[in-house]
Amino acid sequence: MDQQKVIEGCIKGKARAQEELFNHFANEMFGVCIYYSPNRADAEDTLHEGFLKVFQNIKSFKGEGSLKGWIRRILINTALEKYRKKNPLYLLDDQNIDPADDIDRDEIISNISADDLIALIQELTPQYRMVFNLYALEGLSHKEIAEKLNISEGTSKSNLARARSILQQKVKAYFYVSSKKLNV
Amino acid sequence: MSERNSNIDKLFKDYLVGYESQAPKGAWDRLNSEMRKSRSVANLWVWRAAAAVVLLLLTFAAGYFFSDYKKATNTPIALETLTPDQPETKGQEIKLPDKTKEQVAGQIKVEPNIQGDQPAKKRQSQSIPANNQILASEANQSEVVEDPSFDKAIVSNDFQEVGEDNLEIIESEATIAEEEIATTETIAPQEIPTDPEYLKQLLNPDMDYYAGLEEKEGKSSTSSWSFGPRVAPVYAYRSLGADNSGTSFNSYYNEVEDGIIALGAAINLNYKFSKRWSLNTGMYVSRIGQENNQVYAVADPGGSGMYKLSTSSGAVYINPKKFESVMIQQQVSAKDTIPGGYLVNGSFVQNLDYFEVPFVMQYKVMDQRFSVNILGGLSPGVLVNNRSYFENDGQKLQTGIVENVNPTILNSLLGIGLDYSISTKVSINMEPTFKYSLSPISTEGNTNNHPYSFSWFTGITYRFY
Repeated sequence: MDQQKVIEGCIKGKARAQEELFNHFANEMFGVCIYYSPNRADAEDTLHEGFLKVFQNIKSFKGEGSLKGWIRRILINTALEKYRKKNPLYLLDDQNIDPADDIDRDEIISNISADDLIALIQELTPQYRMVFNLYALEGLSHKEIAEKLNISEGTSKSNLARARSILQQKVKAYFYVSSKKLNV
Repeated sequence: MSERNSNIDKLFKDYLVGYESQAPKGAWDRLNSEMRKSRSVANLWVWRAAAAVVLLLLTFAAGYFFSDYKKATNTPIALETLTPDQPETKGQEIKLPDKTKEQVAGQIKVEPNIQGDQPAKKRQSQSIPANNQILASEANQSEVVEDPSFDKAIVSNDFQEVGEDNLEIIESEATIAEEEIATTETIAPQEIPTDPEYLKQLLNPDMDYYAGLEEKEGKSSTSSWSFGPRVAPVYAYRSLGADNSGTSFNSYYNEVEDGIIALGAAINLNYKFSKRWSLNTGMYVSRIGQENNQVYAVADPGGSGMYKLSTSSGAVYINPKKFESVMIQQQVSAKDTIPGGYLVNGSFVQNLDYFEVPFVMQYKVMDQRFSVNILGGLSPGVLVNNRSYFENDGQKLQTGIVENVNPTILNSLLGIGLDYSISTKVSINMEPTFKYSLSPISTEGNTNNHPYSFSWFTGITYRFY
């Protein structure tokens, strides 16, 4: 894909250039949408709305940084907007979660797939999922997460701790079930 | 603990950053379809704005050419130079309307070729536009000259032939320096009320209220401009005409659809060209639409992945995610004429906003401080907003545009105008108005849907002279 030509075509509103850009990034961006969404249907919606914004705002892409990173940021922001709209006053379950035992990463890697991990992430409450993704996958600080989700830094930290704990338990449980299945 | 955290973070990061999943089939088609719509809407806005500007320009141009403003600004100006060594006439020229001249003719002294005591100055016209015959003809008939110092008026009849080059206007020395431009009408307003005929006219109960005000202020013309803002609550609905292809659906639509209550706004511009008749125009934004309280929809037979919701004003294609969030059950009733239909929670509202420039004739039936008018005319408009939404428990879920809506509309309009003058220039107005669209709302024409609306405009009018 000749990126510059495609961008110029998209700025002019040419459908062929837009289609080329979409096809080039659709699968990767759909992957992003999936782990930011509670289910596949919501992810499809995020992909749709996100790419609409990409084409509406492509004039503002100045070429600083990669186009892929720019599109990815737009899609993540779209997912965050949807989260904020759907969960304005989301009450978190405040029950204590027992800290999970440590997991043997190497052992798990051989038995688990990305789809399995996505399924686990999608089981998290929306706010835990957002905090965990933004911190662990995007590398944002708690201050940045707090601003994006309109929560305090302390809430971000506690949400992250709980999300991690839940995921550790789930991964372990998944690993345990998988191991038993393998043994059978 | 920290290492454990690091492990779980790294596990997910390793797997998910760069993770790809096959994008859903038809995703591009849906995206492209939506972008095409927004592109066409954007283009339509440009055309609508251009059309609005042209209509406004035409309106103002028409007003200019038919108004007295044109006459006033085209009044010829006699350029004059002072010529020394001519005898000066005491007194000041006053040109009066013919009627007034006749009335005062018996009371004034006719004295041709008046000569003053002081050295005279003559103001001689250098040029008079060819289309102006007024100065010359009036000068031919008579010339009223008043000498304020002696408190009397003098009419001179000695001008037998006045050409473009030798029209003479005689003025006192004191006013020459102040008055460089002569016009045909220079009646001093404070002089008029002393005229018994005029006072008699004012006391006549049948006299036009505004005409009285105009004459009181020295205005002889009945024409004037006025303008003002107006707002109105609007009830909008539609009538469905008989149509061979659509009659089977009309009874269904009439059963499930209702009118809507909305707001209308206007900047009204009125040109009064006689005591009774005037033309209303301006800029109106009016909303029409309908509400569907028993919504059901079907998966689009075209295979776009959208849900199709049919209404009497046109189809709406709805994003499946949005639709499924309001969908409550599949339609299984035997009455369901379209297999695979879905019932929807809440109501479905369609709004179509038109920008209109009306041309409405107004006839004044009662002409007092409180006046009553009858209005009738046409109001062409262009579509400026097309939207629909589901409404449930006060929440609105936008669902997109109504397909195949006519981008232009031609309304007929009837109304009653009630005006109450709170001063010579300001009045408050109320206008109950009925509007019926002569053109169908949809270009498809299955239901022959003609919108209509009742509005109650309320506003303020400011009059110019």
